[in-house]
Amino acid sequence: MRALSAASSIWAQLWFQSETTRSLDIVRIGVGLCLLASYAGLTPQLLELYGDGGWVPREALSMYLERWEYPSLHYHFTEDWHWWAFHGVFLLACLAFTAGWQVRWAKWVVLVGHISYGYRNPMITYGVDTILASATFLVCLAPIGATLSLDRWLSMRAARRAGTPVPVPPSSPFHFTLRRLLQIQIAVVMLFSGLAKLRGDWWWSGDALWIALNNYEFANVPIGWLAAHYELVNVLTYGTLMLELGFAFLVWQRATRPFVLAAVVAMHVGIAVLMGLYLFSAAMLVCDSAFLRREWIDRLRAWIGRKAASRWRRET
Amino acid sequence: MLVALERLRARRPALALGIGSLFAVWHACALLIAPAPESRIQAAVYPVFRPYLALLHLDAGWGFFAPDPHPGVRMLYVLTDQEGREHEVDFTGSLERSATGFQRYTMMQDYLWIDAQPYATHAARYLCRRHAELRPRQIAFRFLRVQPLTPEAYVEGHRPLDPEFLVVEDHEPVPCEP
Repeated sequence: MRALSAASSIWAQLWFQSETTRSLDIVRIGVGLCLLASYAGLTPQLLELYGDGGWVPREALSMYLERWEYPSLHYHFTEDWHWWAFHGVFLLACLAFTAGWQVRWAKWVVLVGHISYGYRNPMITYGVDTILASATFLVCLAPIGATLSLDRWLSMRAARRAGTPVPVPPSSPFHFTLRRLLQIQIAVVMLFSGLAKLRGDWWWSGDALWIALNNYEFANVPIGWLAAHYELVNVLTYGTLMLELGFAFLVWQRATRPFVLAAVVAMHVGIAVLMGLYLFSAAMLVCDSAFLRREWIDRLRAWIGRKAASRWRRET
Repeated sequence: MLVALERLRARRPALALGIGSLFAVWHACALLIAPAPESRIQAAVYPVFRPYLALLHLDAGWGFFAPDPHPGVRMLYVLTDQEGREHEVDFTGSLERSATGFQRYTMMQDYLWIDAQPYATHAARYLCRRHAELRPRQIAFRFLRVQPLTPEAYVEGHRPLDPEFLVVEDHEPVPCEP
């Protein structure tokens, strides 16, 4: 009986710690910004990339259309204005999702829209879309928007005007469950990405980074300095490999988490700068924020509050 | 969804935590099964999770730059007009690196190079329509495959897109629709 009670306690500790939606709302804002940047930027090429008269007409998608598992609202569009209307609604929903306005509705439009775009043109869908779909799905299950949102600000203002107590954001152990699942998603991404690389000759020889940076697609900066100090390429290649393989094991411990997260931030900033994969890096960093401890966010919030207060005092 | 579970927790906490646990285990297993290498156990379990993974767009292998990054490819296409004249268009060169869609277009060219069908024919016909003013009769994708460049060659002034590092791969031409 005691063993069962201990196991139950460990299980609860693992999955069900009571918290507000604040961590998920941080992810919501980040995911919303990534989706907005991605899809708003594709607006001029909307019909070329997603329309029936573009690169991938509907008949090219027979495999997807035949299976109910690959849903896309785009399969039902017939006129150009259908695409434009959907795109407009979707971008507005992304904006509302990011700002935290009417999130209860907007979040489902964002999720369905994002998945629909992904299946409408599989040729241009890649890892960043799956990461964002995963994060969006998990935050959608929670009553997000209860913190760090326009809805929250409006409800606080209304309460102050009415002279009633400011509502406290609800806490629930299930919010943590979703955050934990997002953490597991990131750990799985890092681990399998590292394991897949172990099969590559260039990763073993320490040349992978050089090969990738020579690729026109990722040649974002001049790399003469790397060619002149080639040992740096080896260090960065092996460092990437070790970080990806080690992340899933080291990120859970209290002592190692800050260092692992700092290394991951450095890696993703490096990927963004050196390879020009800004959206991918941003999406990964947003999802990595699920590992931020509550006390770190509290401290950051207190620091911002102090800074804002001192600035306000100075100005008045 | 969690709101309903939270309401249930107020009345039947054990049941609510049980449902929450079942979902957590299911979703975590799905995340692990999606990229798992092929094995007997994966073959047995994957079909159970596949509809869920596909529905939510979670079915990914996460092999970023794996097993090896490729040195790159440059895509061109050659339009042959009604008089038999050839017009070569540098697709990759026309892309703007700063544009949001840059990575998506390069993804598309990689797709057309590595795994051309079933999209290549449709993509070719789209390009025929896009260049209708040339009255194209057929179109052929041409891929310039980049050979790995040594750091020594780079220091000497060579670059990956120099002609001596490129291997030309011509794909079968696709007739434009009348």
